[in-house]
Amino acid sequence: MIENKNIEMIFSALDKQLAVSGDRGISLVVCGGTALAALGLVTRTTKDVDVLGSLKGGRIHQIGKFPSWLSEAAKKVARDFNLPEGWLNLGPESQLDTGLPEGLSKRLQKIIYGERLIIHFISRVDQIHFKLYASLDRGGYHVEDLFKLNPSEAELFTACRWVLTQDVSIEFKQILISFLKKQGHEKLAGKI
Amino acid sequence: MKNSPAKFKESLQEGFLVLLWRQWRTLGIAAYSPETKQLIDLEALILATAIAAEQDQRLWTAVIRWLACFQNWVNQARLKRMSAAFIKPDEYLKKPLIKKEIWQEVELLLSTTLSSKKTTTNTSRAKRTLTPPLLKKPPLLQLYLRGIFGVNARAELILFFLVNGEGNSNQIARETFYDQKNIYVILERWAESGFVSKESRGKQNQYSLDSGDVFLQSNISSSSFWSWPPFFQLYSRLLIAASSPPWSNDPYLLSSLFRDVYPQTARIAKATGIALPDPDLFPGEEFFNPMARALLDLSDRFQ
Repeated sequence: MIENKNIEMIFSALDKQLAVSGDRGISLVVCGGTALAALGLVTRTTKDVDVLGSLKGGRIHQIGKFPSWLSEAAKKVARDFNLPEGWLNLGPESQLDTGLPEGLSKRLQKIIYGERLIIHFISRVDQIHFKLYASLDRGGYHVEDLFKLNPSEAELFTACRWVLTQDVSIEFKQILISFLKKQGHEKLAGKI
Repeated sequence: MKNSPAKFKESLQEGFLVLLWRQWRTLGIAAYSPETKQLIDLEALILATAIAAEQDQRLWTAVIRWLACFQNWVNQARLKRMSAAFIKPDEYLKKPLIKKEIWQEVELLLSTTLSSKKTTTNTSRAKRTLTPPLLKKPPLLQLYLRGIFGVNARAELILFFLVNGEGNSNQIARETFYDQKNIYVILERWAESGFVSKESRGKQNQYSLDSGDVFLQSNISSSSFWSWPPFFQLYSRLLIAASSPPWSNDPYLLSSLFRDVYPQTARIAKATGIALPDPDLFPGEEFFNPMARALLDLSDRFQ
């Protein structure tokens, strides 16, 4: 499992494996539980690293499929740290098609893990956007993560406006309103 | 005791070179090291020495002289077949285990028409440092058999049976580095003459030396080890990695390489009864110390 205490070790290992597999570098944009843990926003374990895309020239680009040298390096790290196959995945990449919160790429927090690997973690504000969306869509631990981030009314409101661009249906808006009410944000629900 | 990558490299290199010197001493190169008690595989030894050529130039020079004088003992076809795994880029290190220029030196030397001048020079110098191999020494059983059967697959076939007891033509060809068809033809002739026994097992015929005709058993102890190519391939990989970036000085990358070569290491360890640490119990670089210790213990067993 990936947790606060071994994130650095795992990404450093990936950086070193890149030297063996192809000696090339890459900048990845990471969201999800790993980003929460790496930035110390939420202390919890996760089994994978959700990659949104690669960062080039200040813009986030779709990867589509990891290059073979990166897959080979990730496979070695999985074996070496008993991580599941596919621990490094492009699961949330489709988010690039549906649209990211405005200014996300400017808020990225960069950590250099060696000579070849740079990880840009999405910021707390953008986590609030993604976690609100995931809470409405899937619920469960995402709700817990969202409120561990202690979002202010203003931050939640901005996130609400963004999630409504992801699904424009009336039903989804109703789900959002009832979620906000259930979580004690009646005033905010009234503004939607 | 904790191992650092630098200490591991130092111990590994020292052990590897001592092993090579002991085997070459047995073949007639003057050296301080005692002679080996292990069976020698000449072609595998040449390859292993070529890997370590840059680490011990004195040994390499002596070996070049030995080859100039006694190249008739070398099975060049077998050497070429065996060298394939050592001169192409290695699966894990992404570079050849033997440097191209080093191997070219061997190829040039063994091709007598091209290297007659160099051979003459080496031969005259060699007289001062070399003695001809004494074939009656037990570790030189391969050369002794070549003396009887000629420099062909028959010597390795007999060695295979003496060490392993029995085998099929595919297995024997793979482990002795000969063409399967060649091995099959010899085995069938030996079976016809009653020199070996043949037993049908599934799709394969299993062959074994007929006990009545085993005239060489006294030359070999039951603990004799003869699978030198996989041993040398494993240890040369480790040695090269421990000496070059990005592995050198990096316990994580070295431990990752230990995991890569774990199946090969386990097969060799099984032959000696050495227990290897379980990689699943040591995540990341935690695997470095226990495995480095086991690898050095394993290397000591083959001195």
